[in-house]
Amino acid sequence: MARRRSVAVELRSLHKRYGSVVAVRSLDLRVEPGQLLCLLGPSGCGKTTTLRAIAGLLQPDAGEILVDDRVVNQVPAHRRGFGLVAQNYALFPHMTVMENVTFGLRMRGVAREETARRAREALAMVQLARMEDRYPRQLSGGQQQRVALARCLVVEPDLLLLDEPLGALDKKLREAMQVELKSLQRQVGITTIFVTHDQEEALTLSDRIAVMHEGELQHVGTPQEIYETPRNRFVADFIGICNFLDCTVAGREQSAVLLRMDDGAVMVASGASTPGQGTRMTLAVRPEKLIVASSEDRRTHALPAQIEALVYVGTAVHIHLRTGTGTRLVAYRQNTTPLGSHLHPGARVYVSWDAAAARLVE
Amino acid sequence: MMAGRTGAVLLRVYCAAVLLFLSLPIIVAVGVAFGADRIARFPPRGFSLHWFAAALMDRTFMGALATSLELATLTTIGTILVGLPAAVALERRVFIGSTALETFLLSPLTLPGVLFGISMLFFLGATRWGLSWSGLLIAHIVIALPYLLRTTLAVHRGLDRGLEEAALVLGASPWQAFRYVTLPLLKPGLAAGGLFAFLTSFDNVPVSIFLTTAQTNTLPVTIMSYLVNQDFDATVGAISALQVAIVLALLYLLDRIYGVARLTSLGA
Repeated sequence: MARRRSVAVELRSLHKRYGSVVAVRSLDLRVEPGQLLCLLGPSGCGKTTTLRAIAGLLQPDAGEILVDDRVVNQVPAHRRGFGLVAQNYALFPHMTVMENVTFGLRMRGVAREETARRAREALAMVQLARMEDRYPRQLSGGQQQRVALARCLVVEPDLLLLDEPLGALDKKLREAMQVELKSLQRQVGITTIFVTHDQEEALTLSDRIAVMHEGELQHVGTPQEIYETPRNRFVADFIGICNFLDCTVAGREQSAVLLRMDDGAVMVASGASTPGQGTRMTLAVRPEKLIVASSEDRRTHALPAQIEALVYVGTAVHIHLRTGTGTRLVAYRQNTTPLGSHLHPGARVYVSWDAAAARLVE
Repeated sequence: MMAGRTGAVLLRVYCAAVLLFLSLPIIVAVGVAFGADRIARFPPRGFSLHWFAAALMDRTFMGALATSLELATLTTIGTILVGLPAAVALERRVFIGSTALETFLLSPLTLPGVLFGISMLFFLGATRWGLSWSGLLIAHIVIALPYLLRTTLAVHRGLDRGLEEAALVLGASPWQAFRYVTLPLLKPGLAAGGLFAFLTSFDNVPVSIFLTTAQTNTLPVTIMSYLVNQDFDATVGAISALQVAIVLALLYLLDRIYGVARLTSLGA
């Protein structure tokens, strides 16, 4: 199934309301040809509405949807030539696997021999060659998911839309399908928009991630950008685990911003521009970036805290801490060396981090 | 354990008694038809098929049976032609007041048949339509429609909207999506509703009795007037047995295709 071309998709000021509720608020987004973009956000953030608008299943109230710089708003769903895999797969229960997969080709009036050949190719691609005569109810969840994917790819759509297609699978199968889906998408080279609320899935699959919240785009970037330099507190909190600390801007030290914590300790964070002295800010630091040390090993900029609990998770130990002002923190310590004797519940320790590891968020 | 077993036995006895109570009239009427007596009695004395012969040779009964079968068949078709588009429109709520319309279309269920029969009679008279075959057919479609509407709506509302959307995105036009995805999935509802429509028409007395003429006498109306004007003789038993056999054959056929348990549960 060689791809002839990949399309670019662009949304311009897309807006959709349901009654008085704004589902999507002036969304601007561009997906480059052949890329896989994840629309990521909690339920009700507008990601599915956006996907349905692109598919042509609902009309936006305002804004434009462009495919290769051509506005497609007025093109009905069945003439857009896209592929959609829904969360429940929406396989036709009264048709066999073969009939499901050939449906799109039959509707297009493709010749019978070609239809059969292409359907077999598509089924072989998703490793379901011998399931042709089964009905969807006779298949496992993973197999149904593959049939839905084959049914959608067989018509060689310009754009692949996936609405939480792995949500109904158990964790092991989901992770296996993620890898498979990614390699399949690469192989076919099709531009793909993937909707999910699972941040791990988004990080694994995406070329780029668009984080949405309450109908608005929060941050668009590569998985690494989104994780390492989240634009705001919502993104930092939604992607992975993050520690947040209230602080006041105290000045600069070379390339780092100096911050006075509420218990008086002075800490560092990265930041190109310095907000005015005395500005209240929130500091965001990932658990794996926290360094927990005894008073002998403490760094210059360190925050006193007490260990509340140690949780052993196999590859790492999660250290749960509480600062002098009562803020709870968690630090991950990889199990590369044995845990020092200074790390035990109740121990008084010092927490620090590299300036580059800490971000100031609003 | 003992209490549980006694309870189970009691339940079985109770169910058997109810079933017997329900089917006893049919058993009597059909049983009488097999009697060899000159008068109808139950249990029948001897065994003979001569009442069946008498019924089959009776032109009035046979004519009425043909009328009823034709009427019930046309009623079923007419009900589907009106009910299917209505169910689809009501399910999609494409217009304002669809809830009110649904209640209205289902209302013949709650209206006494006699009342509807008389109203229809007045209507046909006032519009100079008159007592005609088409008037009778329309009346039957009106009273059969609620059954088809209910079963079809129940199935339609249980369908995943995503199926039609999937068909659209795969390139099917709205009509193709309906034709190849929605309609086949509505079939059980249409079959169940069609069955109820057929049976409603086939054994209707209260509405038909006001609207039939000598040319359009249906079987139930003919049986009724026969019973009113003459003594109960076993010809009626035989013709009733025939009627029951036709209904059973129909049920059997549908059971083979869809499973009656599934169909009848749709009407609830």
